[in-house]
Amino acid sequence: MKRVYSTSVWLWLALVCACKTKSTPAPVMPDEPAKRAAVSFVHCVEAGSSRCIKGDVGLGGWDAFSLLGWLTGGSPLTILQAFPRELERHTDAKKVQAKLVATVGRYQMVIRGAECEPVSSQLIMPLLDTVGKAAQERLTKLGLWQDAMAEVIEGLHREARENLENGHIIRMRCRSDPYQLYIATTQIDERQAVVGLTTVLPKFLGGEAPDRAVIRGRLESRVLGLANVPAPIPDNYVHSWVPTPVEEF
Amino acid sequence: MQILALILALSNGPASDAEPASSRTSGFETLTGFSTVLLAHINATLASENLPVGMGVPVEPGVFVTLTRDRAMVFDESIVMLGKQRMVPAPECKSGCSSSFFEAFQRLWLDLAIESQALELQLPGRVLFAADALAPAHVLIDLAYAVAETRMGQPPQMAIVLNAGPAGLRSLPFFLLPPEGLTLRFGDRALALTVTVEAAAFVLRSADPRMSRDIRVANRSELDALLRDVRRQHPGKTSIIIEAGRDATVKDVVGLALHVREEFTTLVLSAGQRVRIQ
Repeated sequence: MKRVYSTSVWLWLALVCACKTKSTPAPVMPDEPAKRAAVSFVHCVEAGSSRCIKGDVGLGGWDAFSLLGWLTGGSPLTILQAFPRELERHTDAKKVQAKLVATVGRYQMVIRGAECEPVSSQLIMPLLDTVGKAAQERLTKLGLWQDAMAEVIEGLHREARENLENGHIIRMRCRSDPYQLYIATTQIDERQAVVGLTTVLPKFLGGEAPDRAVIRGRLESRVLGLANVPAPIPDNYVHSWVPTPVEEF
Repeated sequence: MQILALILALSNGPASDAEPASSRTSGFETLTGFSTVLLAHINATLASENLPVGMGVPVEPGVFVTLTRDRAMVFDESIVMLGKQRMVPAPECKSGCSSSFFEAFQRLWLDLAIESQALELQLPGRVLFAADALAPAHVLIDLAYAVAETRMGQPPQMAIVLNAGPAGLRSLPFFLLPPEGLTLRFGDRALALTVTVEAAAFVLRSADPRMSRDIRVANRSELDALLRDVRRQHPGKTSIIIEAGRDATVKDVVGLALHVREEFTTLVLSAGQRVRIQ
C-alpha cells in the first residue's frame, strides 16, 4: 500500500513539474532572434535562394560599419586606391545591396556543407564608438587624416548608429572554409533582419584571429581562387623568380 | 545617405552636377599620395636618414615591409620583435626562412586576398622593403624570401627603399634566386656571377671555368678590378647575385649593388641558394 502511495506521489509530482514547464516557458535570450535570423539566412544561402537578402532593411548601416572597420585594419595601399570609390558606392543603396549579394554569391558554394553553427553574439552598438575612434587613430598614424576625413568618419558612424539599432554580430564557426562567418543583423520593426556577412572581423571588434591551419586552408580556398601556379615565363628567361633573359644572366 | 556631400569635401572643392561621378573623388588621391604615406611611416618608425642612401629608381606603390633594428613590420603593424622571438626555420619554407616571418606573411597575403576580392582589385604585386641601413642584411633577405614564398602564384616584384636626399625616396629593385636554388643547362652559357658580402671581404664566384674556385678579396677596389675583368670577358652579362654574410649590413649589400649597378643592372639576392650548371 505504501509503495502504491509513493508511486502516486511521484507521478503527481512529475505531472505538476510537466505542467509547470509548459505554463512558464524559458525566457528568450536577447540575442536569440538575431541568432535565429542568422541561422535562417545561412540555410537560405545553402539552399541557393536568390532572395536571402532584402533590400529594404537598411544595408547602408552595415556597409558604413564595414568601411570604418576597413580603415582600422585594411592595407593603406588599398585604402588609398579604393576608399574614394567605396565611399561613392556607399551613397547608392543599389550598389550597397549588389556588394552584399556578390559577397554572399562568392561564399555560397563553400558555406553549403561547411556546417556553420552560431557560437557567440554581440551587440553592434557598443562597437561603434570603438571602431570610429580606431579609424581616426589609424588614419592619423598613416598620415591620411585631414579635416574633411573627420566629417566622413562622423557621417559613417552616424549612419551605422541610425541603421543598426539592436543589431547583433553573430559569430558562426564552420567545419571547413570559410571556418568563421560573422553575420550582422539589425532590428526592423519587431524582427531581426540580416544586413551583412563577413569572414574576418578585427580582434578588437570581437573577431577571432585565424590559426595556422585556418590560414592554410583559406589560402587554398576555391573562393579566393589563389591558385599556386606560377605565371608563364618566356622560354629564354632564367626562371619565374628571376624573370630576366638567360643570356644576360 | 549624407556621405556624398562628405566625399565632395574630400575632393578639390565642390563638383558641378554635370561632372561625372568618378572625377568627384579624384582630389582625395592627389591630396595624399602613396609616397607621402610611406615617408610618414618611415619617419615614424626608423627615420628616413637611417635608410640606405642612393638614387635607384622611382618608388612605385606597393605593400611596405619595414625592418628596424628591433622589429619587422608590415604596413603600420609590428609582426616580429627581433631578438625576443626565437627565429626557427619554417618547415614549409623552402629557403629556410623563419617561421615567424612565414606565418606573418601567410596571414598578410590572406588578408590582402580577401580585401582585394571584396574590393574587386588585383592582389598587390609589389613589395617595398624599408630597412635600417645597419640592420643585418641576412634578415632582410630572410624577410624577402618569406614574402615571396607565401604569395600564391608568382613572387611579387620587390625593391629596397632608398634615401635619395633632396630627391626623396627612391628604390632598388631586386629578384631572389629560387628558394631551392637554380639549375641551368650547360648550353645556356650562364655566368651566374655571385658576390658574397662579408664584414671585411668579398667572395666572388661564377660558372666561368677560369673562376672555378672562390676568389676572396679584402676591399672594394680589388673587387672592382675583378669585376672589370669579368665584364671584359662577358660583356653581355648584366646580372649579379649578392649573398650576405652573417655580419653584412643592409648598407653593405645595397652599397655594393648600387656601386656596380651601371654595369650589372639586374640584382638578384640569395640566402645561400646556389646556381648549378649541368
